[in-house]
Amino acid sequence: MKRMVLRRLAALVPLVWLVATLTFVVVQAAPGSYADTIDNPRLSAETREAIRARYGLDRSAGQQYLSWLGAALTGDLGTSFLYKEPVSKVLFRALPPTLVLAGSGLVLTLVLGLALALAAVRHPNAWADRLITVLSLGLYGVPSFWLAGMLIMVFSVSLGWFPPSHMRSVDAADLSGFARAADLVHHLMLPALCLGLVGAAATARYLRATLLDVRASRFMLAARARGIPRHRLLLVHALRPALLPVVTLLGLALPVLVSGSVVVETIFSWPGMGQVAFNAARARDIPLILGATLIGAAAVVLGSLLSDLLYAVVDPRARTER
Amino acid sequence: MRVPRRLVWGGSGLAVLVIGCLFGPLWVTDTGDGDPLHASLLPPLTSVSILDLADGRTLISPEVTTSGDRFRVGGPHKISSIARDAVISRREGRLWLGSDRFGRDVLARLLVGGRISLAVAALGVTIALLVGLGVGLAAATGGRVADAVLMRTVDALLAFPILLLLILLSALFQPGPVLLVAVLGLSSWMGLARLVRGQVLSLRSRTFVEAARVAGTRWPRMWTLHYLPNLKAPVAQDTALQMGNLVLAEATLSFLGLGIPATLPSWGGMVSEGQRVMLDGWWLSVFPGLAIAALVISLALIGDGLQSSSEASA
Repeated sequence: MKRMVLRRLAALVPLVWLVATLTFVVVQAAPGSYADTIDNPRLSAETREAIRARYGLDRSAGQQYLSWLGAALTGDLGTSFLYKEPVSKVLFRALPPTLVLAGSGLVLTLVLGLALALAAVRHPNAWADRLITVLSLGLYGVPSFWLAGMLIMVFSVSLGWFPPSHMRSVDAADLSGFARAADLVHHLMLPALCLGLVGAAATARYLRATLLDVRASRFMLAARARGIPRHRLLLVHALRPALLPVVTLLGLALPVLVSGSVVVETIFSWPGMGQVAFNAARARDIPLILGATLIGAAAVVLGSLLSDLLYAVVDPRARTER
Repeated sequence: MRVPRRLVWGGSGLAVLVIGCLFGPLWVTDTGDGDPLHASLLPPLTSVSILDLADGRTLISPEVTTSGDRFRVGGPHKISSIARDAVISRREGRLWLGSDRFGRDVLARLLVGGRISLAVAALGVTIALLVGLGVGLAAATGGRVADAVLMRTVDALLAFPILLLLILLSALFQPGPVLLVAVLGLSSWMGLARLVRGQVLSLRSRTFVEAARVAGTRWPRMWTLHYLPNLKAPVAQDTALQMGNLVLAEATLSFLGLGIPATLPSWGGMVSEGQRVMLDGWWLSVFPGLAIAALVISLALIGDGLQSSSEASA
């Protein structure tokens, strides 16, 4: 167990390095550079050349790569072209909003998904089950950018219940502690709901299938024969084994928690990691692209490790393997 | 063998969408490039008259009346008067799903956009299938070194934040259908490769494969007779789900302006255009979104159905 964790953590470094190198190659292979994305027709060719020199883009690709790698090894991710600030500062500022949004989305996903699946399997094939099956299938197919637009249309434009975008009101700085928190939650509602609904649909679909499988197993028959009440049967005996795969979902959710959802953050103007990564890619801001990819890749690897560890914690059978 | 109901539903849904997109444009009233002056933002089910003019223009209008030797063509933004001689033909039609800002038929654009979405997803998933099968088989049968190299590559690519990679590639290179197919295909084969490798490794320990090996069966026959037929069911199921993912990925990229260029109709692009004028016409973004959902759901049902039928036969 301990050896497995150490081995996986050791593999993290070369893997993240590989991903960063691949990203660098891709960015270099593309035509144009940051200097060409500055949309100002009055910039002369000499000025553009000066901008290229200022950001070190006139050096050879090999030189750029080595100097980035050298600095990155000492923990310095460089300065963002777009934000004119250290990359680590830009990313650290974007992280809390993403954690708040993706975290609330994850909680909604689990709570809604669990509730829907339990309501569905109480009476398999009854009307509630069919309704939930159709609903979760529908939500599974709906693209999140479309759902986001619909939520804004209904709850923001027509009903006026929630603000359509941004994380805080313009006058949020003047508000006192509690009112500020309420303001944040108010803004959080729609984007979190958008993430949560899409996630809950997938979770409910998955969990319903597993719950039905578990119900058919022999230990459930034995438990029923012992006269255990129906709700206890479902909530305790069936749910525990069915939740095992869901636990691994928690670990796999780590990349989204850290990297954020590009689509939802862009639509709702949420100042998080997804939006930063999107802006970086569009502006060819090489240091920021590399910084965002590094964090994303590390999160994927750590997430899958975490999910294996969580699985080993809840399922003793997994501990002996490997 | 009983065909699972989900497979029937998903298959019919996919068939309707494919046939509709391929042959639908022939059946929908031809409204040319639309008429921004007289047919802008008409709601669904509006019946219109279409006037083909001698100078090649097409006028579309919900209200066309004749007065003397002239046509009076009404519309939300302009009323025109056209001499009778200038009109070659007058046809009647219906805008089933309304029209957009430029007076173009939403249904016609939806069907043409569907061709592109379907083609991109189908070609992308074909690339993913071929690469995934190739890498999976090579890793499983090519010896220890090949296995280690290929599977570590798969790990590294899986560690790539996938949407970020897609956005990066489409933002960096000139977006277009060909790039999109390549990017989607080359970023989605890793799951299939893992699946194929796992399946082949488990097949290799099965008695009938061992028997074939002992009997001296060579590798081409080994693959065509033993490996590929037994891979069919899990691979088909995974491919259907993967294609649904590609449809969503393409739509997302087109929505962000990084997929199909705006000069071509695409479902994701139509949602994005429609959301900009959502208050003037809900139909512009609602229908393309529903079309994407219908396609993804059909593919998911096919995947589910294939799984339950392979479980039933196992």
